[in-house]
Amino acid sequence: MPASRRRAAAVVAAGIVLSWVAHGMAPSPTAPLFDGVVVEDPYRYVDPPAGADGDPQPAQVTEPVSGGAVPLLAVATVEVPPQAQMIAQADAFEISPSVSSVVVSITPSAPSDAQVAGNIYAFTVADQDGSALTLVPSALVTIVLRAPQANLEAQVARFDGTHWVPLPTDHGGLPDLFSANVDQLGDFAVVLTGASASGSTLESSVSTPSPAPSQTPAVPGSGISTPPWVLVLLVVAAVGIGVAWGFFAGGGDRP
Amino acid sequence: MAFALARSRRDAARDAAWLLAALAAVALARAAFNGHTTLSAFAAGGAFGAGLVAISATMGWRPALPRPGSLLLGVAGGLLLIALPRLVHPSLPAAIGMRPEPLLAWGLVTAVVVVGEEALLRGALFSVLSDAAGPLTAVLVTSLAFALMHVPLYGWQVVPLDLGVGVLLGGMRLATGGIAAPVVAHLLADLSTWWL
Repeated sequence: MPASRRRAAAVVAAGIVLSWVAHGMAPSPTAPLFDGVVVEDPYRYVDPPAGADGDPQPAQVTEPVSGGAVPLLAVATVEVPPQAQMIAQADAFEISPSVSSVVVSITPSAPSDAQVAGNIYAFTVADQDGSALTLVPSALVTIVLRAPQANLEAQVARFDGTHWVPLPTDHGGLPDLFSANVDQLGDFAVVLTGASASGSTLESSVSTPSPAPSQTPAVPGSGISTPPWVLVLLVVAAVGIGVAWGFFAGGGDRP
Repeated sequence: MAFALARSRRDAARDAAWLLAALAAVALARAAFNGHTTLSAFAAGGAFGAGLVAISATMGWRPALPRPGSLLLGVAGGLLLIALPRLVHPSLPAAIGMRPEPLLAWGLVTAVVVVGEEALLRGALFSVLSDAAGPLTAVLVTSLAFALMHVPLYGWQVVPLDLGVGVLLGGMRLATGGIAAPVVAHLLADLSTWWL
């Protein structure tokens, strides 16, 4: 094999290894790469601030139990991208032999704490009689929540009845999606951390979710605040400089 | 990809700098205009891809008829890219992202974006960097540019994965000498997100 081919093969192998490691850093599968055309609906609030959209949708799915095991569950709300998703591996829930089906519910509610970005989502899995199921201790269940804004300093958190408990969080494929593996279900939200939390702490006490939010969430944005005309000027300037450079600075080797 | 005359290393470095500056400007402009509607996202994406092709053309890049072997390598690379997340996380499906309707328009705009990115990165920029500093530097710089150009739309978390994928696509460019293989692999990976 010629040296150039060996070098190319080594680079391809390095690319595969790097991609493998990058995928391994995520808690759940992502897209093959972050690319393409990004189209996101505005975030929908339970109690929308002025200028924002409302009417977020709940999700409820019934799945039959076969062979005494709960099947793989992947449930999401209908927004694009979904504002709340739950992905559970097969056999993730403890069930008795009498269970014939499970009902997965994702229900939004408004927050009453300024730490929460967007809505609170209650995740439940119950049997056909409405009895809540518990997770198998080693089960892999991932919660994916969308925040109203991109690139927030935030984490997925679970409400333990008194506090928001932050969970190890990764991005879920887009700059406003946050994902976390969980060991129990309940109420989850994207909770602001760091400077964006306005001085509050993640472990501060909050009231139970209620329909009367005290915060005024920001209207969703793209995360880019530079005025468009500045960027247009940048493009025009860059193209102009390049063309001029090419034509007048000895660039005669280009067609 | 062919240039009429050989260029000096200094000219090549200058051309590489200009291409990187143009890429950064166009990527920022796309993010600024992307908006929250399908129409604005499709328009921004289409203009972004077409702009990158135009910039590449100003630097002498021209499309060439791909060889069957390059297309085959591209298909293999694309399937590998699609399979990797499943291989690393075999027990879970991927989180749902976006499925912007209509499918055909989305596919076309995605194809324009992919061809534009590859024409500039693995086409024009790769060639001038190879002339200026060698092929391995070309792989590294184009991979880094590929990762960073997606930050305005997706955030910093894209860098590890897109850097790795960029190296893989750069290796395919090295192996085949053209952009057909990276284009096919890149396009397959992007289009697969509709069904994953």
